[in-house]
Amino acid sequence: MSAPTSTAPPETAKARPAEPTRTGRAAEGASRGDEGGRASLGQRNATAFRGEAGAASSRAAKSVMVLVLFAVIAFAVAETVPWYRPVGGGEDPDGVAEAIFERYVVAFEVLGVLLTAALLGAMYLAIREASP
Amino acid sequence: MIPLYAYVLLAAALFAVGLLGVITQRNAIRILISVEMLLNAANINFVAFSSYWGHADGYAFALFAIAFAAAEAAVGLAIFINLFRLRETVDVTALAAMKG
Repeated sequence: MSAPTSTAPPETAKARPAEPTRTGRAAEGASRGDEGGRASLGQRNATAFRGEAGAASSRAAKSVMVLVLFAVIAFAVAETVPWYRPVGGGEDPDGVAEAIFERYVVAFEVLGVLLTAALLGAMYLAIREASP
Repeated sequence: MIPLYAYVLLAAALFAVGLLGVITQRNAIRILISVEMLLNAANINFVAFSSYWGHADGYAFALFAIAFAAAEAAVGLAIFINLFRLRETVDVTALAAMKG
Protein backbone atom coordinates (compact mmCIF):
# COMPACT_ATOMS: atom_id res chain seq x y z
CA MET A 1 0.00 0.00 0.00
CA SER A 2 1.37 3.35 -0.95
CA ALA A 3 2.08 5.96 1.66
CA PRO A 4 -0.19 8.82 0.50
CA THR A 5 -3.31 6.67 0.52
CA SER A 6 -2.63 5.17 3.90
CA THR A 7 -2.33 8.34 5.90
CA ALA A 8 -5.51 10.17 6.70
CA PRO A 9 -5.29 13.87 7.41
CA PRO A 10 -5.14 14.32 11.16
CA GLU A 11 -7.82 16.98 11.24
CA THR A 12 -10.37 14.51 9.89
CA ALA A 13 -9.93 12.19 12.82
CA LYS A 14 -12.35 13.84 15.15
CA ALA A 15 -14.78 14.96 12.46
CA ARG A 16 -15.57 11.43 11.41
CA PRO A 17 -18.90 10.07 12.66
CA ALA A 18 -19.15 6.72 14.37
CA GLU A 19 -21.17 5.08 11.62
CA PRO A 20 -19.43 4.41 8.31
CA THR A 21 -20.52 7.04 5.85
CA ARG A 22 -21.94 6.55 2.40
CA THR A 23 -18.48 7.19 1.02
CA GLY A 24 -16.97 4.30 2.92
CA ARG A 25 -19.78 1.98 1.93
CA ALA A 26 -19.40 2.90 -1.71
CA ALA A 27 -15.69 2.31 -1.56
CA GLU A 28 -16.17 -1.06 0.11
CA GLY A 29 -19.12 -2.14 -1.99
CA ALA A 30 -17.26 -2.35 -5.28
CA SER A 31 -15.60 -5.71 -4.85
CA ARG A 32 -14.30 -6.12 -8.40
CA GLY A 33 -12.92 -3.24 -10.40
CA ASP A 34 -9.89 -1.13 -10.92
CA GLU A 35 -8.50 0.55 -7.84
CA GLY A 36 -8.07 3.96 -9.42
CA GLY A 37 -11.71 4.16 -10.44
CA ARG A 38 -12.77 3.17 -6.95
CA ALA A 39 -10.54 5.76 -5.33
CA SER A 40 -11.84 8.49 -7.62
CA LEU A 41 -15.39 7.41 -6.84
CA GLY A 42 -14.66 7.65 -3.14
CA GLN A 43 -13.11 11.04 -3.55
CA ARG A 44 -15.96 12.31 -5.70
CA ASN A 45 -18.48 11.28 -3.12
CA ALA A 46 -16.29 12.69 -0.42
CA THR A 47 -16.72 16.21 -1.70
CA ALA A 48 -20.12 16.12 -0.07
CA PHE A 49 -18.51 14.95 3.17
CA ARG A 50 -15.79 17.46 3.75
CA GLY A 51 -12.47 16.03 4.79
CA GLU A 52 -13.35 12.37 4.11
CA ALA A 53 -11.35 11.89 0.92
CA GLY A 54 -8.18 10.63 2.54
CA ALA A 55 -10.00 8.19 4.79
CA ALA A 56 -12.13 6.85 1.94
CA SER A 57 -9.25 6.18 -0.43
CA SER A 58 -7.25 4.65 2.41
CA ARG A 59 -10.16 2.34 3.20
CA ALA A 60 -10.46 1.36 -0.46
CA ALA A 61 -6.76 0.51 -0.60
CA LYS A 62 -7.06 -1.56 2.57
CA SER A 63 -10.09 -3.38 1.17
CA VAL A 64 -8.14 -4.26 -1.96
CA MET A 65 -5.27 -5.49 0.19
CA VAL A 66 -7.52 -7.76 2.25
CA LEU A 67 -9.26 -9.06 -0.88
CA VAL A 68 -5.87 -9.94 -2.35
CA LEU A 69 -5.01 -11.77 0.87
CA PHE A 70 -8.23 -13.76 0.72
CA ALA A 71 -7.65 -14.56 -2.95
CA VAL A 72 -4.17 -15.87 -2.17
CA ILE A 73 -5.50 -18.04 0.66
CA ALA A 74 -8.34 -19.36 -1.51
CA PHE A 75 -5.90 -20.17 -4.29
CA ALA A 76 -3.62 -22.00 -1.88
CA VAL A 77 -6.57 -23.95 -0.48
CA ALA A 78 -7.74 -24.90 -3.96
CA GLU A 79 -4.25 -26.08 -4.82
CA THR A 80 -3.46 -28.08 -1.71
CA VAL A 81 -6.57 -29.20 0.20
CA PRO A 82 -8.06 -32.46 -1.13
CA TRP A 83 -11.52 -31.82 -2.47
CA TYR A 84 -13.38 -35.01 -1.75
CA ARG A 85 -12.21 -35.85 1.75
CA PRO A 86 -14.91 -34.81 4.17
CA VAL A 87 -14.42 -33.71 7.75
CA GLY A 88 -15.80 -36.02 10.38
CA GLY A 89 -15.31 -39.26 12.19
CA GLY A 90 -12.59 -37.91 14.40
CA GLU A 91 -14.77 -36.81 17.27
CA ASP A 92 -13.55 -38.50 20.40
CA PRO A 93 -14.43 -36.98 23.79
CA ASP A 94 -11.99 -39.26 25.56
CA GLY A 95 -9.24 -37.92 23.34
CA VAL A 96 -10.16 -34.33 24.18
CA ALA A 97 -10.17 -35.09 27.89
CA GLU A 98 -6.84 -36.86 27.59
CA ALA A 99 -5.40 -33.90 25.69
CA ILE A 100 -6.58 -31.26 28.14
CA PHE A 101 -6.03 -33.04 31.43
CA GLU A 102 -2.94 -35.10 30.67
CA ARG A 103 -0.82 -33.88 27.80
CA TYR A 104 -1.54 -30.15 28.16
CA VAL A 105 -2.41 -30.01 31.83
CA VAL A 106 0.37 -27.50 32.48
CA ALA A 107 -1.05 -25.17 29.83
CA PHE A 108 -4.47 -25.71 31.38
CA GLU A 109 -3.25 -24.64 34.81
CA VAL A 110 -1.39 -21.65 33.38
CA LEU A 111 -4.57 -20.67 31.59
CA GLY A 112 -6.44 -20.78 34.88
CA VAL A 113 -3.87 -18.45 36.44
CA LEU A 114 -4.11 -16.18 33.40
CA LEU A 115 -7.89 -16.00 33.66
CA THR A 116 -7.70 -15.16 37.37
CA ALA A 117 -5.10 -12.47 36.76
CA ALA A 118 -7.14 -11.02 33.89
CA LEU A 119 -10.25 -10.96 36.07
CA LEU A 120 -8.43 -9.18 38.88
CA GLY A 121 -6.81 -6.74 36.47
CA ALA A 122 -10.06 -5.96 34.73
CA MET A 123 -11.78 -5.38 38.07
CA TYR A 124 -8.95 -3.13 39.25
CA LEU A 125 -9.11 -1.12 36.05
CA ALA A 126 -12.85 -0.89 35.62
CA ILE A 127 -14.27 -0.40 39.12
CA ARG A 128 -14.76 3.28 39.78
CA GLU A 129 -13.34 4.47 43.03
CA ALA A 130 -15.87 5.61 45.61
CA SER A 131 -16.10 9.39 45.53
CA PRO A 132 -14.79 10.94 48.77
CA MET B 1 -20.43 -34.51 5.05
CA ILE B 2 -18.91 -31.09 4.65
CA PRO B 3 -15.55 -31.14 2.83
CA LEU B 4 -12.47 -29.71 4.43
CA TYR B 5 -11.97 -26.85 2.00
CA ALA B 6 -15.31 -25.35 3.00
CA TYR B 7 -14.07 -24.97 6.58
CA VAL B 8 -10.78 -23.49 5.46
CA LEU B 9 -12.44 -21.04 3.08
CA LEU B 10 -14.90 -19.99 5.78
CA ALA B 11 -12.03 -19.39 8.15
CA ALA B 12 -10.16 -17.41 5.49
CA ALA B 13 -13.21 -15.24 4.81
CA LEU B 14 -13.72 -14.63 8.52
CA PHE B 15 -10.05 -13.75 8.89
CA ALA B 16 -10.23 -11.32 5.95
CA VAL B 17 -13.26 -9.57 7.35
CA GLY B 18 -11.69 -9.34 10.80
CA LEU B 19 -8.43 -8.03 9.38
CA LEU B 20 -10.27 -5.40 7.36
CA GLY B 21 -12.06 -4.35 10.54
CA VAL B 22 -8.81 -4.12 12.49
CA ILE B 23 -7.06 -1.94 9.92
CA THR B 24 -9.98 0.31 8.96
CA GLN B 25 -12.10 0.84 12.05
CA ARG B 26 -11.41 3.66 14.44
CA ASN B 27 -13.76 2.78 17.26
CA ALA B 28 -11.83 0.71 19.77
CA ILE B 29 -14.82 -1.52 20.51
CA ARG B 30 -15.13 -2.40 16.84
CA ILE B 31 -11.43 -3.23 16.73
CA LEU B 32 -11.91 -5.56 19.71
CA ILE B 33 -14.78 -7.29 17.89
CA SER B 34 -12.59 -7.66 14.80
CA VAL B 35 -9.81 -9.20 16.86
CA GLU B 36 -12.32 -11.70 18.20
CA MET B 37 -13.21 -12.55 14.62
CA LEU B 38 -9.54 -13.21 13.85
CA LEU B 39 -9.26 -15.56 16.83
CA ASN B 40 -12.43 -17.37 15.84
CA ALA B 41 -11.14 -17.89 12.32
CA ALA B 42 -8.11 -19.60 13.81
CA ASN B 43 -10.42 -21.67 16.03
CA ILE B 44 -12.41 -22.87 13.01
CA ASN B 45 -9.21 -24.07 11.42
CA PHE B 46 -8.14 -25.81 14.64
CA VAL B 47 -11.41 -27.69 14.99
CA ALA B 48 -11.73 -28.54 11.30
CA PHE B 49 -8.24 -29.98 11.00
CA SER B 50 -8.53 -31.75 14.33
CA SER B 51 -11.67 -33.48 13.18
CA TYR B 52 -10.11 -34.14 9.80
CA TRP B 53 -7.13 -35.95 11.21
CA GLY B 54 -9.03 -37.59 14.05
CA HIS B 55 -6.65 -36.08 16.58
CA ALA B 56 -7.89 -34.29 19.67
CA ASP B 57 -5.13 -31.74 20.17
CA GLY B 58 -6.87 -29.17 17.96
CA TYR B 59 -9.98 -29.28 20.13
CA ALA B 60 -7.88 -28.60 23.22
CA PHE B 61 -6.08 -25.73 21.51
CA ALA B 62 -9.39 -24.24 20.40
CA LEU B 63 -10.70 -24.39 23.96
CA PHE B 64 -7.53 -22.71 25.24
CA ALA B 65 -7.86 -20.04 22.56
CA ILE B 66 -11.47 -19.35 23.56
CA ALA B 67 -10.45 -18.89 27.20
CA PHE B 68 -7.57 -16.65 26.15
CA ALA B 69 -9.95 -14.57 24.02
CA ALA B 70 -12.20 -14.13 27.04
CA ALA B 71 -9.32 -12.84 29.15
CA GLU B 72 -8.17 -10.54 26.37
CA ALA B 73 -11.66 -9.11 25.86
CA ALA B 74 -12.08 -8.48 29.59
CA VAL B 75 -8.79 -6.62 29.93
CA GLY B 76 -9.33 -4.71 26.69
CA LEU B 77 -12.78 -3.58 27.69
CA ALA B 78 -11.50 -2.47 31.10
CA ILE B 79 -8.71 -0.49 29.43
CA PHE B 80 -11.17 1.19 27.10
CA ILE B 81 -13.51 2.00 29.95
CA ASN B 82 -10.67 3.81 31.70
CA LEU B 83 -9.70 5.46 28.42
CA PHE B 84 -13.22 6.76 27.96
CA ARG B 85 -13.27 8.17 31.48
CA LEU B 86 -9.96 9.91 30.83
CA ARG B 87 -10.39 11.19 27.28
CA GLU B 88 -14.16 11.01 26.59
CA THR B 89 -13.47 9.05 23.40
CA VAL B 90 -12.57 5.59 22.20
CA ASP B 91 -11.47 6.78 18.75
CA VAL B 92 -8.02 5.26 18.38
CA THR B 93 -6.86 7.92 15.91
CA ALA B 94 -7.46 10.57 18.55
CA LEU B 95 -5.13 8.80 20.98
CA ALA B 96 -1.76 9.81 19.56
CA ALA B 97 -0.01 10.80 22.77
CA MET B 98 2.69 8.12 22.31
CA LYS B 99 2.95 8.50 18.52
CA GLY B 100 6.57 8.51 17.45
